[in-house]
Amino acid sequence: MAAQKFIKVGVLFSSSGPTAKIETSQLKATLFAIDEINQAGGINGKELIPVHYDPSSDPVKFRFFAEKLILEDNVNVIFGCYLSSTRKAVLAVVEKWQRLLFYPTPYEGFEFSRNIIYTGPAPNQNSAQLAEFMSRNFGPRVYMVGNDYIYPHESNRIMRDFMLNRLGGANVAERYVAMDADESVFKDIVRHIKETKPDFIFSTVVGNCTKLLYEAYAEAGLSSEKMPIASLTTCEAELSQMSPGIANGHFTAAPYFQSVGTETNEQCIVRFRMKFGTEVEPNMCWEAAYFQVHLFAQAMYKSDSDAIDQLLPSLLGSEFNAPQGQVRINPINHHTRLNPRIARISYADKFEIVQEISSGIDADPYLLKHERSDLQELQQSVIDYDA
Amino acid sequence: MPRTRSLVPDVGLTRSTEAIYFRNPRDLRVMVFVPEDWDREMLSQQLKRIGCQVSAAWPPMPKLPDKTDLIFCAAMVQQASIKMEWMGAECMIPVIAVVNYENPTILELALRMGAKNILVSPFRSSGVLSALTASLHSHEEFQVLRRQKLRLEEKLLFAVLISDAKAVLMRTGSMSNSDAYQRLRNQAMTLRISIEEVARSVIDADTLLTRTIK
Repeated sequence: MAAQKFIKVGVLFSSSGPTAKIETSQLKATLFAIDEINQAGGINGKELIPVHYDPSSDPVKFRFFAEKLILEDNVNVIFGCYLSSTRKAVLAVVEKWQRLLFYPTPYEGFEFSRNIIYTGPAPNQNSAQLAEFMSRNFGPRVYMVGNDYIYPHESNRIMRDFMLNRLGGANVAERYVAMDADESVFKDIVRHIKETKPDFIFSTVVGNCTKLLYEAYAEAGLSSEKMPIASLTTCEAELSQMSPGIANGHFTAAPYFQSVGTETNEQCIVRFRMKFGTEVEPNMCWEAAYFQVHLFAQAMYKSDSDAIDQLLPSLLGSEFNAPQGQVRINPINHHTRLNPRIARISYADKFEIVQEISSGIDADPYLLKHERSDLQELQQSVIDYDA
Repeated sequence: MPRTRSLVPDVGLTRSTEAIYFRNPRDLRVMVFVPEDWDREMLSQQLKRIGCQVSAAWPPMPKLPDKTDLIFCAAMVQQASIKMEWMGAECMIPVIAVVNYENPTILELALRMGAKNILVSPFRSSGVLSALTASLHSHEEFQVLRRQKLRLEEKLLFAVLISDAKAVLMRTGSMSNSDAYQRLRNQAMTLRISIEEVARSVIDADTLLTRTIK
């Protein structure tokens, strides 16, 4: 084994299916990071070789390809998954075979597996800030629309609890749509929004539905200045699927936007563009997919093995200077300390950061109630551009 | 074997008089409402090993087959609005919810279903018998308590009824408390009806009279 000159790693992001756009950006970020590591001499002289399959946003295929990666390609580590249903499918496989999955996507929390490292935000790192920001700036009457799976339902529970605890707070409506819903579904929803006049709209639609929602909203002539859409997932990738200006004035909460002003970020984007062109837009999921490969490589420099029992001790507690800022893997819950931000989509189709916290926040995946007072305390360290 | 302790003289509880906690799961008729791709076969197999008679289906059926003793049912957001008559706090058959996410949204759904226990998918062979045992036990305990509560409510109602009737007799017939009770009892024996019925007639008659005299 010692003589082996390469290390195969598994990559499971969809290049087809309803979430292909965002997952393709995660795929390219993973390949980009692997390329950087190899350019710098590999891990202790060993080259990283990515083995990628396209599981088409389908949990059954994710499960199948995860087993194939482990049993036929002999990988110990897998980078992958966007939808929660696909993470659950791979969780069962990595737990069975004692392998490790790196998961770079915002999700609903309430999970821990020894066999997963979570590098996207838990609700206390995006939902809580967004609920506080939107109710403070626009009011506490929320209209919720999402796809019909676990992430939207659980995200809406948090949003609903938060609003109902505010004076005048209300859950105006809660609508769930299929992953393959068409324009007419969103036209109908927007008509209902127009009638019910909420203070803002909380969207947890993902994939191709995102474009349809923002387009229907713009077509109906609603004003994002008065009644914006707030999202946890709408990012640069989805924006590139819409015609220019469609999503102006709407908000997204995430730890990373292309517009983050760190030198690390700016250089990272330049290097990525040189290698991969402009087809893929760097975004929150792209960034997590990128830095998690570096966290893995850093740990493996030390352990010199990618077997989970050797890798975990050097991985847990490790830090990395990511494009979003410093990140750290919490040894207890395997989630990552991130840098929550809120941005408004501005007139040049850029995410203009309107709120950020000057130091990172640890994930608290089993937090049930997100208290306003806790968030207000954090406000002190917030750089609020909106004042 | 009844679960109540018999009044055997004080030599302590012998084996035969002890309350039975662990019920034999052999031959239980179990309905498994779980999607096939949730490792349903694994759950069904384990239940069969335990000795249960298993039928499986998805989605859940509104009407259960006759003589179902226990239900396993998946809790998922897409099924949230579906309400079967065998679900809910009052259901007469114990339900074990099956979940694949352990978050508040899903756990809330499981409890709304009336679940006495929750099993997490992917399943392991160990854990199934424990969940089954705990839910049968707490369901049985719940049923006993519910019957006791109904009985007590009834008794309380009768006690109020009898004391009201006695008050009428004491006022109108100027008799003592114990004479009033004797009177109700004698009347019940003569007419071969229950003392509660006599009491109710006395109260009704009094209400009628006081209303017309006014």
